[in-house]
Amino acid sequence: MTLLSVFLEDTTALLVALPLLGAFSAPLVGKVSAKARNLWVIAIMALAELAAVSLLVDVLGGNPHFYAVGASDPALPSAAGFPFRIVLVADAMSALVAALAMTMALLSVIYSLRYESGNEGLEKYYSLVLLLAGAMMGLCLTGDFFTLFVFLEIASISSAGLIAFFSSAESFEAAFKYMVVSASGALFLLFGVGMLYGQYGMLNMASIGDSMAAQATFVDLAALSLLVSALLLKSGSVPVHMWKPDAYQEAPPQVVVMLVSFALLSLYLIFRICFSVFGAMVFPAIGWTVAILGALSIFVGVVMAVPQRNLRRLIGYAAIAEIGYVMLGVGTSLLAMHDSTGVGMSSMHGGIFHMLNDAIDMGLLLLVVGAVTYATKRQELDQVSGLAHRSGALAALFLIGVLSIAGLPPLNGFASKVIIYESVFRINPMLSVIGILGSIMMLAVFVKIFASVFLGAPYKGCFRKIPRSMLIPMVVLAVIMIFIGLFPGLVLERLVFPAAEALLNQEMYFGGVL
Amino acid sequence: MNHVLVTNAGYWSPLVWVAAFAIVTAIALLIRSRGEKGCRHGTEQSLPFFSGNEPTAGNIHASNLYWGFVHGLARHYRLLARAHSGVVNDYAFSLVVLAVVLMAALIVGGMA
Repeated sequence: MTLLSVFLEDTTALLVALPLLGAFSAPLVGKVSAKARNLWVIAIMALAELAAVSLLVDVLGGNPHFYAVGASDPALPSAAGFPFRIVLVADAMSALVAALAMTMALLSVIYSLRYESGNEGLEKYYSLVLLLAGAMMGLCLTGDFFTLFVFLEIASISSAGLIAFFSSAESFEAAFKYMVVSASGALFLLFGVGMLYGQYGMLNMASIGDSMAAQATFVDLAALSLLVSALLLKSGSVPVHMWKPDAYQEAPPQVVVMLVSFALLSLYLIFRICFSVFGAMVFPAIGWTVAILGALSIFVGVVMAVPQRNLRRLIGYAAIAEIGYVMLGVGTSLLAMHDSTGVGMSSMHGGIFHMLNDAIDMGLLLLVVGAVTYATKRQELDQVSGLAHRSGALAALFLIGVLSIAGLPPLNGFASKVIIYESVFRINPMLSVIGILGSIMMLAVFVKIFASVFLGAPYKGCFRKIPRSMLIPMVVLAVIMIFIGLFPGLVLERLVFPAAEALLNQEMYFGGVL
Repeated sequence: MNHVLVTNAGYWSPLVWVAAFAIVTAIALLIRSRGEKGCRHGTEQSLPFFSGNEPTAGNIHASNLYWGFVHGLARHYRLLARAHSGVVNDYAFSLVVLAVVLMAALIVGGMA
């Protein structure tokens, strides 16, 4: 058996294991030299990215992976007819979010190389980054509730560590708040998992879904509400969004890019639990809740973003609004899944497509804002202006991000938002109007940043040149955005349609695991 | 490669949009090229024109932008600011409220 065949066969497990290996070995390699540590971290992340992309390609080719950790034959998770092992599941949906999160993590690490180069204790920083990346992979692929809880905790603790890492009083406060709400959410989640375990005597998602009666019991619904509340908290949806602006303001921008991915993964987990475990019996009730909370997130996010004067805090509020679009799309799809006109499916495509676009758009904007902070050492909007005279490339990259996040053609944000508007309009025009108004206000918010930071008289303060290793991740994201914007049909056909199909196909999910 | 986005209500072709944008840009540039040639940069001709007011000394800062919007909605902003107190107890409380509301909605809606 060649190394390549082992790599391909065990990609699912390697995707989780590689970043964890990197996390624990980075401090040891750091003893050799800082350069060796950086090379090691990049090599680990590049290998994990390769695993994520090859897994996605394989899964999209019609081979979903079901991997039993520790089994003599990992392809047979339930040889005894009962899945007692930890099962990792990679279908088109989970492989897509895993590839997305890993790509964003790799770009964040490349960006970190120069952005953080002057700081001390970087081996611990990279350990936390890799730990967060590994936990996110675990969250994407896990097939049982307890492993989900464990990876959620690893991701939360490493996120809190990263928010507080470059210590200031404000960053400690933001990390403390995040830790408290995150721990509260984890307890809710654990309680929900405990209720399901009490009811069914197992933790495997597919087995629980398979054992559920046609009509949900009281315990099922109570458990679902606890699970969804906890995951909405992690995603930063209204009304449990307050930690987000605090954390986004204090964490390094490339870490915030990973936090955006983590928030989107939390939404993915809600969709996975609703569609793959609970199924059609909870669709209308949970659909209305998710869609209304999505509309509220859009409204509160953009309205609160308008008066902000701190660049990163403003983006924190904008991120709340962007999460709202995904919730609006998928929430509406839960409402209209059985509609014969196909509105429900269309809405779901819009929601999943926007997950992809949100991660990329917010990623680019955050990295540009980070570059502004790096170059000027300032993040208050009133303190910087006229930066377009000093770095036209930075202004151009920011403009691409702005146009996309505001949903203007021909960029990627427009493609996903137009699907959401159209399909949501058919279910409830008011929700669609809130979405469109939110986009207009989003444009206003980012025009404010662009006008005050990049336009005006040339900036006269100290301006550090932006290094190439920081520019490359931004350019990569901008190119991806333009490509998706110009070929939205291709992305929908190759990535979004199979992902939606995998999420909806409960039989395939149960059949693969059981 | 498939560039056409087919939605539930119609379709959208970004490449056609780009072509239209290029044509409009070309027309705009043509009109611009036929404008006044004697414009001198670095003189008062290139200063911004604020409806006949004296030009301000510095830039217009972010805190000045949308002042009217925020001022007009000051009451609503006060309410929102009160909800965003920054106190971690309030954050945890909002989670409890969410869980209770969600549980009520799911149990009423799911068991109906």
